[in-house]
Amino acid sequence: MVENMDHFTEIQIERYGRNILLKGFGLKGQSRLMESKVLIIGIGGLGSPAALYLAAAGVGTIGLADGDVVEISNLQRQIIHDSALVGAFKTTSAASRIKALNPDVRILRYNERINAKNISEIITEFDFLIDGTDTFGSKFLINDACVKFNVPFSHAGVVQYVGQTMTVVPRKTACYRCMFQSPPPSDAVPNCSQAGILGSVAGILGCIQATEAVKYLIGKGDLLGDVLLHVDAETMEFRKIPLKRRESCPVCSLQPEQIVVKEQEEEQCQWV
Amino acid sequence: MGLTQADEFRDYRGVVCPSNYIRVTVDLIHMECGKTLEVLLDDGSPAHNVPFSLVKDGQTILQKAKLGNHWSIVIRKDKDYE
Repeated sequence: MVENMDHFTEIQIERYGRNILLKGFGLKGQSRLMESKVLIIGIGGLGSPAALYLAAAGVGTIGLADGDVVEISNLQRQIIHDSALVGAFKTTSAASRIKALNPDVRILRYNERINAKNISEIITEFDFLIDGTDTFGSKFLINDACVKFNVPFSHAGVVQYVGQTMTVVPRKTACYRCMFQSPPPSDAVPNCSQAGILGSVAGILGCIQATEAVKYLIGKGDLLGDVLLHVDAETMEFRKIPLKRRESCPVCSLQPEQIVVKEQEEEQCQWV
Repeated sequence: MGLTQADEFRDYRGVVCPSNYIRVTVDLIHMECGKTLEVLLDDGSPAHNVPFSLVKDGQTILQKAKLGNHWSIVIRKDKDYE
């Protein structure tokens, strides 16, 4: 018999009924989700839909890490925020929306930019991480720390009409550095204010990240491990590019104690 | 009180689909295989959908009786839920 099901309230059965009905999800999956902790770094175009869907699904604890405040230019794609909270910390704005959506969710807020000094203390509290950051430097930092501390995560990036995403289960699947050894030169990729971004494209990728988190947490389905999903919304082509762990990867080929988590030189806004 | 000699009884009249099915499933999760549960369900979709889904889950409907504007369904748990 399934254990630990006594804690479901009548309201939770109503709220999560559509999850529970899913084959391979059930009460056990819902129970796991409610006991899980997910950290979202970057509450922007990717983090907004991810946070909303994870909260709606009933993830027990959601960590929100972002040092920025809401700006009017964010609202074209960062749908967890609204006009009334322009000027507020993004974590405050997002926490307010999440609480309104699902009061069951416990929220941990980190009103700071994730850096090499604070990342290890924060990420080790969580079962899964969503990378919703907007710089290559942050993406490499998150990858290195997650591999070192064995925290699985979903990477994504978007620009203009395209996006890409992959899921990294440290030492089991290819990591971000297996694909890209280091951040690109600063002039190699147009930044977000130059290139633009269609808000709904960030939404698509953020929703995929939330789906990967749920699948990982309940142990259902095939993750985007060892594969890079490339999405071109202009042609609506979804393409899976196979990846392999690199034997010479400067991060995931090392033992955890050998990995040095440090700031990356490149810190320019290239993505959402 | 149930109308049959089932081991457990629940009254889910007034509970809409799919919540009624989920609640029956929760009840069955807590029961041993071989035990029986009588539930009262509204006429219409509940009386049709809930037994249908339970059979798909591997449970057995032992009895289905219409009692005015509702139904009494007796289920035997034959399969544990994963």
